[in-house]
Amino acid sequence: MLRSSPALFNQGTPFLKLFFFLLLGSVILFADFKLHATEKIRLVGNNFLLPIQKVLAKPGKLAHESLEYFQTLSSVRTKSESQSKEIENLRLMANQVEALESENTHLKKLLQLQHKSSYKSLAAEIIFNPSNPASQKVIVNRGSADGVKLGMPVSTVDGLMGQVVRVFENSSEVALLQDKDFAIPVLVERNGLRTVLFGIGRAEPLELRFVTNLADLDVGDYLITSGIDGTYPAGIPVAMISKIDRSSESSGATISCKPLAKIDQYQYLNILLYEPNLTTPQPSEVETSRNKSRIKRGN
Amino acid sequence: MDFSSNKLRSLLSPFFYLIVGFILNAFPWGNSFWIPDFLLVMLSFWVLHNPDKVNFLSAFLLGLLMDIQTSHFLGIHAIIYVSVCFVIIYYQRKLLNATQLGQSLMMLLIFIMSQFVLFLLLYIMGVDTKFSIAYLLIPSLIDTVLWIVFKKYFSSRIPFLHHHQS
Repeated sequence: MLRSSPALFNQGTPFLKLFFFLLLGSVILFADFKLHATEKIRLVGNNFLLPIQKVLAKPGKLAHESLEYFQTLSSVRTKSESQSKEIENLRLMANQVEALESENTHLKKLLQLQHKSSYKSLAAEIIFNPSNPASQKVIVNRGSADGVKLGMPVSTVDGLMGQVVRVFENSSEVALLQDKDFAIPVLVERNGLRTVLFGIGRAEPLELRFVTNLADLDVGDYLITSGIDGTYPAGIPVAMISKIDRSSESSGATISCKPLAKIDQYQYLNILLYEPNLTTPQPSEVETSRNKSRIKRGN
Repeated sequence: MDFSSNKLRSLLSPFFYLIVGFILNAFPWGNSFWIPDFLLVMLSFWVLHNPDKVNFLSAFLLGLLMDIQTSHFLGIHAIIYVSVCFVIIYYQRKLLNATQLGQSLMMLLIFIMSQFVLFLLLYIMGVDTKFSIAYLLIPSLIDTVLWIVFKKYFSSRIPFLHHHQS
């Protein structure tokens, strides 16, 4: 249609066509990157592609499940023994937690503090993990039809995994912690030191920034969400410090962290239907604004 | 096999293989840098051997589809595919007249260029990504191996390729 004569007799090179399509591509790229004006195109394309993606994810899922089946068969005895012990421990702990919780609510009533906003969670399944050097995302099978909203936190059983960054009707995109410039306000579980955790890109560990050389941190310390920014509920485990490099040249230490949620192993995750309760007392003015200016949100 | 019947002919049409390439790309391979671009290999193959049917427009549209599929910035794959399409049409004679080895090496260069264009575009847009020579070379090498495999597969199956090459 565009090219009627055979290639052999074609005159000249199609510079004009190249120019036209490159221009068109650049315009679309600019409209998407700067103006975010192409969500409609994505929506239409996604409706068409989602069924294909779901079908294509099936074989991998089956392989994963059958592998898991045989693995559990081989080690089922040891696993069940250790698990029954663990369940007993957990029962004991659960009793304590109940007691603590009632005590906590009682104390809060005494102090006339408001309840923290509670949230439900929604189980979702990872459809796939697109190959893309510029961002770290997974596509999950829940969308606006299930009540998912932009910015909701996502976690696995082990810890925080990321945040919903794009919502379609029946699926949504979740940016992972490893995504470049993904920032989460965290605190060190051991001593309550508050910092910000950053993602630095594909296949790289997370990085704890704005920490001085003298800060009380150790390899193996756990980081949990502090809940300061209101996007993430407080107290979700996020990462573990894996390496500390205190160089004498710069004032800040380089601290690498390993996320607790492993994206390669889990087929299921939880979307926390968490909407921040803004009526709860906020931290003091200065601190919030300082933290806010530091936090550059990915997307 | 009898390739003269209409049914088989339509089955062997380039667009069937482009769709196969797209579906191969859409498999949940994960997000590792070495994952090859099956669609790019299929596309460059058909642009080289059947530019009447597969050319800029199909490259552009398939690129847009890939962008939506990988949740990339819209248009980035489209620009890459269109530029690869142009280079192949520009050097079509040389590619078709080259020996098997020569052609594969030229294709390797073209695939490296496609990866380079991707990182160049991200750099221009100010998206800070980690870059290394391995990111250019390893997927391109795998693409070239796929190219050789497809070439072997098609040259034994489709009669008109011999006609083109002779």
